[in-house]
Amino acid sequence: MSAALEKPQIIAHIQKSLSYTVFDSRWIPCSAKFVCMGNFARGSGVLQIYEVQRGELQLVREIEQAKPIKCGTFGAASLQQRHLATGDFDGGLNVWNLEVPESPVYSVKAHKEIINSIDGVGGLGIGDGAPEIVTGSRDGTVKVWDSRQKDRPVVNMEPVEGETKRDCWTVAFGHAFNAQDRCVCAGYDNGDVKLFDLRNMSLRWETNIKNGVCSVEFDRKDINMNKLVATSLEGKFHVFDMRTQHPTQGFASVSEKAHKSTIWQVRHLPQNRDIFMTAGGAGNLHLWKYEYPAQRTKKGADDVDMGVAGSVNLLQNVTLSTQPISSLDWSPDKQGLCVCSSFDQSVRVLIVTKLNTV
Amino acid sequence: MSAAEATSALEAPGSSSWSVPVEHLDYSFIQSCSDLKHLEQILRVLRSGQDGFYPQLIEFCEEHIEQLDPESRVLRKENRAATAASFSAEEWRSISEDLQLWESSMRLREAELKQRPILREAANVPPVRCSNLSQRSVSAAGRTEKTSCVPRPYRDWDTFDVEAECANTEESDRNPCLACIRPAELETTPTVSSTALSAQEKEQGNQAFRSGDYEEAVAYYSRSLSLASSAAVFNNRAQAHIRLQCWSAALNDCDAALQLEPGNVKALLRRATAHKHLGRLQESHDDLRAVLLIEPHNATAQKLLMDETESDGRQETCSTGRKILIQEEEEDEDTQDESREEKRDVSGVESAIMGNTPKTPDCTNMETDGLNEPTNDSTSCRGGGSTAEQTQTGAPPTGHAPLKNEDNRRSGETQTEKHTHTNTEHTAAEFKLLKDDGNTLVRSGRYLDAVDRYTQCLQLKPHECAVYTNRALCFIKLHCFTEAQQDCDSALQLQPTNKKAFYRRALANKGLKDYTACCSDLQQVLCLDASVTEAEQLLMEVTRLMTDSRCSSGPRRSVTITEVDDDDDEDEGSSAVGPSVSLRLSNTFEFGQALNSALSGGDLLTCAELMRSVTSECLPRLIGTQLDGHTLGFIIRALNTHLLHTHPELVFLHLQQLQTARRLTMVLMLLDGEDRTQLSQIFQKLHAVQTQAFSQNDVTNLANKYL
Repeated sequence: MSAALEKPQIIAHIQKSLSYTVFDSRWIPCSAKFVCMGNFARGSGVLQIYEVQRGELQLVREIEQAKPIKCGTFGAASLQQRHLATGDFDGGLNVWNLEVPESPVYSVKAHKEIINSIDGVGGLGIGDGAPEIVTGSRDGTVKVWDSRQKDRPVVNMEPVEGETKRDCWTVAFGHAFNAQDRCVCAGYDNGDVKLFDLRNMSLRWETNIKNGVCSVEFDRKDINMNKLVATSLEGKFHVFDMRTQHPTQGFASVSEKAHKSTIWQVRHLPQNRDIFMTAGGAGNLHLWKYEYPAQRTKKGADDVDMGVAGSVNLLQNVTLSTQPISSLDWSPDKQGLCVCSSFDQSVRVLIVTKLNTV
Repeated sequence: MSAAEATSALEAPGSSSWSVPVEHLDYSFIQSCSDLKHLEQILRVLRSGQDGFYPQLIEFCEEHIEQLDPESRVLRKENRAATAASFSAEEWRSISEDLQLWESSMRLREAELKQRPILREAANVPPVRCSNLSQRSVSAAGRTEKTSCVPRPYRDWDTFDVEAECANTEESDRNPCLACIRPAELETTPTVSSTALSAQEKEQGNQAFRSGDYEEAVAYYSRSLSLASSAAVFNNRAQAHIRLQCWSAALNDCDAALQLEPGNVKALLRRATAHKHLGRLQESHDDLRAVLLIEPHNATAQKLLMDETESDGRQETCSTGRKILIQEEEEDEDTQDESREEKRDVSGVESAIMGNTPKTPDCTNMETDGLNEPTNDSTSCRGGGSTAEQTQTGAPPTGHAPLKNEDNRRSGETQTEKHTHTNTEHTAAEFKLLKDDGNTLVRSGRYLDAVDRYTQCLQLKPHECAVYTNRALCFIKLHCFTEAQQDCDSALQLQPTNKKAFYRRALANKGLKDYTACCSDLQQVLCLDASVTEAEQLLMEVTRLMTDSRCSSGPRRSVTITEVDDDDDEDEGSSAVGPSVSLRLSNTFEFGQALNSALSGGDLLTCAELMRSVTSECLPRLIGTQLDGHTLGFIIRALNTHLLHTHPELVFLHLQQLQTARRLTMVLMLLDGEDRTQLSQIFQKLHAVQTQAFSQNDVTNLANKYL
């Protein structure tokens, strides 16, 4: 048993039942508060801010919106302003000042249909270059926004005329390690993973992981892209080594079947880029660590460098609920603290111990 | 098809249950089977329950699989989330305390963040992406096919632009990571302080280092250093350079780290490695020795030194700790020293000249300012590295020159020794020489060599008290406390009232954590001479340490203990409180912690010490919102009992500043009777004090405000 206690433990610290369906939860940077986003049964959207106070959750603020909110991010906001960018069921992208939530500071009808996923970069001291927001929608487009430009996206990535539009389920920023370079990775319902290079305005790489891509995330947004995790509908996830791209074979990857159900989300630990947690459709969480191979590149047949994938180790797994866990967010300020929301209408604050010793 | 069958089929597609014959579901078969895949299938069949439910067999099968492959996926089980009950009370307390600390610190940080004016940082933010261009090109981006360089149609070759193509390839050849990582700029993020940013870059570097990408790590460390230089980052970059085998770059970084933190063991070790690979064995040895001086039991240094000694094959490289043994075979060593000098032809002439200096009468004069003088003097010599002394001996201030100087001088001496070995007159002269030599070495910080000289002295004249005390000092500096204690004992046998010996034994005892013995020694010193302020200070410190160790406090306290330990080495002469104390209290939170721990232990002495170490101006800010009747009463008691008789001015100033603290008038009403009498006692005593700092009128005014 002592050996078991050496492993990281996932503690269900606080659990709170909510009166609405919660889709996303995010820590407010530089605070002990987080935002929950969802929709009321009556069809309106809701934002709630909770503060962690001595083992309990204190509701700080509740803001009701016209449209249900699917996703949100602080990634493009400055640390001082901490504006929350949200995507709603109607395709609207709004940026909120949570102190003055009466009207959004930026609002645009971004997509024709629901915004499934949102990500930000360039804020909070994470990522170089302009603060930008990327949204992925059921209408098949991926758009990049700059809150300083009204009404129009700065980049729009959509399939050419005549091609079937796939539902974009997830988007993520990465590779933002200088003012010019930046990539967006998007995952689609047919298993496509596309990597868009915003510097060259080109599709840099694409692959198909056979099942719908529920979540993609780079291990870090603000470094020369290192690893990408993509999770899929039937319980597998793939870790791509993004350092070495082979002209024909692309990036090396390792896959692991973790859950017996959909992996809804993957999130890397902000304090250690090789540790990440996946959230499953059966209400379970798996904590993983990626181990690099001895050599990350090797010479292929035609003497071209190709990447070598490492392996993933399961550090811990727990089952929290019977319903899918829809969102997961690590606190950027406290190692091991995370918040997750699930479809049993509850939000949980978890503590993961011993992360610094793995 | 039952639900169980369905799941089992889902779990193991293509390997349905009939691939496992029923006779395989047996203890003896499972025991003998070593095919992991097959065993996993057996386990799936067993778990599905379609051939019956056998819990023991399942367990047996699991155990067997675990023996073969502990990481096997079939062994993964669903766990419940841990709760408070899964931890011991202590663990749980530390977890929840940690979280609560974080909560409160976050609240502070957030309040701080809100107070800062929101800067219009538009000028610093990169411009909006050029949208017109992107709009068009990207509408097709979803499907833009990559034009590969080969093969291409013939007509393409007609339009082939060599220049452009070359530029293109150059672009792609460039390692994007190293070339493009932007130089860290301060002004892009005015909201975050440069140190925080630098720490962030360092963290990035560490992560890159851990993942084995040393070039990236170097780039990030460089960025961190461009924001704020720190020894740790230099050190880390040095290590990354070492991994990349860029020895000279590593060397530069180690030098930089050592400039910032002269005693940094890691930097020394890494520099030793770099020197070694650059072929400079001598420098490498010097660094390793320096490490062993600081940490005599450093395994890495010992091993490296051993390796090098073996490869080198020369006796001079053996660890300094054994010099005493070598000293017995002086003649051998002499010749070696000489031969070494010859080898080092660069410095040959220079050191030969310097080698003469000790033989001139100058050196006997120097005896007068040796270490046998009152402590104050000797520390002043030692403390500042005494440039005056250095110029007198003619030793240049460069790093290695003094070493050669010593060696050569020594070879000179020992030669003298050979010729006049039987002559007692010369023995006295030699004794003087050796002792003087030792004193100079102490001043230049080469304690181990000094010990060597003093040992030689004692062989010549075993009854010289001063030599024992000097050697004890060296041992203390080398953290060899037991030896130091023994030397002090010997000195005290020769001179039972030697206060310096007492003082040094106190230091040694403190090092050995024998605080009671330390206290009694210090009291002896104060009996002999009440004016020794450093003894008084040390006594206070030790008393605090004693109380600390008794009321076994948390990790925070243990940190302060080590700080005090470190300081103490240099602290001997200086009367001011070490900077560590004031630094420690610069922060409201830490001050509150310290005060609370004193309060909970009822430790007036610590509280008084705390009050003494803060400046009055900071006091209201430090106390902040924590002021309540209990705390104030406690502070008043501490001031009255411990601080008033020594520092009345400080007490006055504190009280004066305290009245500006928030809520003081309110809190004053909450004071109980005893505290009030204490307070009036303070004012009575302050009335009686004659000083320039405040007049009696001031005291009366202040008293009116308080009472």
